[in-house]
Amino acid sequence: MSSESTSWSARLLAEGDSPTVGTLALRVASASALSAAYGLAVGVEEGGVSLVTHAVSVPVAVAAALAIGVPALFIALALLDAPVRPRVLTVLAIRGWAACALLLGGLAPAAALFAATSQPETASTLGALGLFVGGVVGLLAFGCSLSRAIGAADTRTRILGRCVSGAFAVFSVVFAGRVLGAGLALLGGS
Amino acid sequence: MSAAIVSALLRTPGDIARKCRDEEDLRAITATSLAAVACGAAVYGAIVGSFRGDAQIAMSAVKLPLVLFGTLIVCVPAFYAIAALLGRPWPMRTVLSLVLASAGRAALVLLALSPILWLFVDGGLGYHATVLAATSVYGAAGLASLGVLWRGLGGAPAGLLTAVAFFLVLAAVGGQVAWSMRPYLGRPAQEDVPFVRAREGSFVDAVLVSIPSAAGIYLDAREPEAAPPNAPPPNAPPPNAPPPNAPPPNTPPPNAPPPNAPERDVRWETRAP
Repeated sequence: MSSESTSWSARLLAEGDSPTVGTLALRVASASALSAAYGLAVGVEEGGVSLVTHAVSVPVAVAAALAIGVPALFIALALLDAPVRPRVLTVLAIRGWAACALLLGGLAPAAALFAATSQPETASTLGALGLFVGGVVGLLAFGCSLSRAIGAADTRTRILGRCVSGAFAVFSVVFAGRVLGAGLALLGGS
Repeated sequence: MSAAIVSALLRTPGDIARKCRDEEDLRAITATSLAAVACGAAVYGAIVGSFRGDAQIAMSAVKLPLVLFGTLIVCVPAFYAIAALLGRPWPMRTVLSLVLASAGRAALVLLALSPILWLFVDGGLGYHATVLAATSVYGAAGLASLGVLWRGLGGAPAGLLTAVAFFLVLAAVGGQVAWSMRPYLGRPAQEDVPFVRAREGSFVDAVLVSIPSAAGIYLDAREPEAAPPNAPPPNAPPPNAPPPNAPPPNTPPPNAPPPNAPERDVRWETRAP
């Protein structure tokens, strides 16, 4: 067996619509931990309670956007008669979160470096930039998987399905930004 | 430190990259690369520090390896994540060995170019010319490191996006780590050179300041902020102010530094036109 199929990141990002509940739970836990690591890193700038606030806020924002957005996305796709079951959509959403979190976790040491050694404005800008790039990566991973999942549908459903998933992406970014903005000094919150 | 690995790093970087991907001889490649980075960066640092001499030689010889290792420590998790997201979900040990091998090759090139740099420094090269020469040597070493990394990523076009993402992270982190660990040469105007300067903002901030400076606009000649409408002129005395020539109580003599004044920043003095 090649190393590519056995590495931790390969398992985290593995495709397939039938992982076990345990696998999904592990993926959610890993994504939460990696997102929290990034939050912790950007919280270094202020230290103290801010470390905890940031570490909690980042995974909570992503989870909240998914918890609210994915059911709505499923309803919209079902109205279009797209061939996607709720479980498949959930699996794809969790995989997208894992992709986002993997990047955030990888960037966490760099974020901590900039938070500790830069001016507050620069550190905040770079911290927010990392969150944005992570979000875009996660949404791209989710959108590509979803496109493949509805690839068997007719042309009209595929096109409308992509429009709906695009709207979901915009909603997710705005909503997650709103949640983060309310909780993080990084984005002008408390 | 294996002479065979050193030779392979220099002659056949593609072979080293393949071994990293296939997880062959990882221990030997990693150990040799670590030793190469430590030696090459220390020698290069000592040469750079020899511009000022004395303790700066030892300080730079210690700091340069720290900068390289610090950059690698911060970058490797990001490289691992980026590679996985762009279709190369390698184990961490593969990413680590590939990055270390690249850094090792760069350090060997630094080691080779250091005597030439020393000749220039010893010949009386000026401060800014030395900075340029040292940066050029560092850049050449960086290009050499791409020989391993590029082959490890599979070359163009498959590895192009990954290589660009690696470069962006490496440039940002490497710049910031190096910036935080300044000074390496030590400005001639400075009497004492600290091991590490106090926190002065980020590498990005410095670049943003340097761009207008390069165009001849010096930000140290700070202009007063724009006054609001109906505001008194800048030199007008405030209401209830004492007469213009009357010194306020406890006024220090002219030209005296204020209490707890920060140390003068000689960087700006030497940069003024």
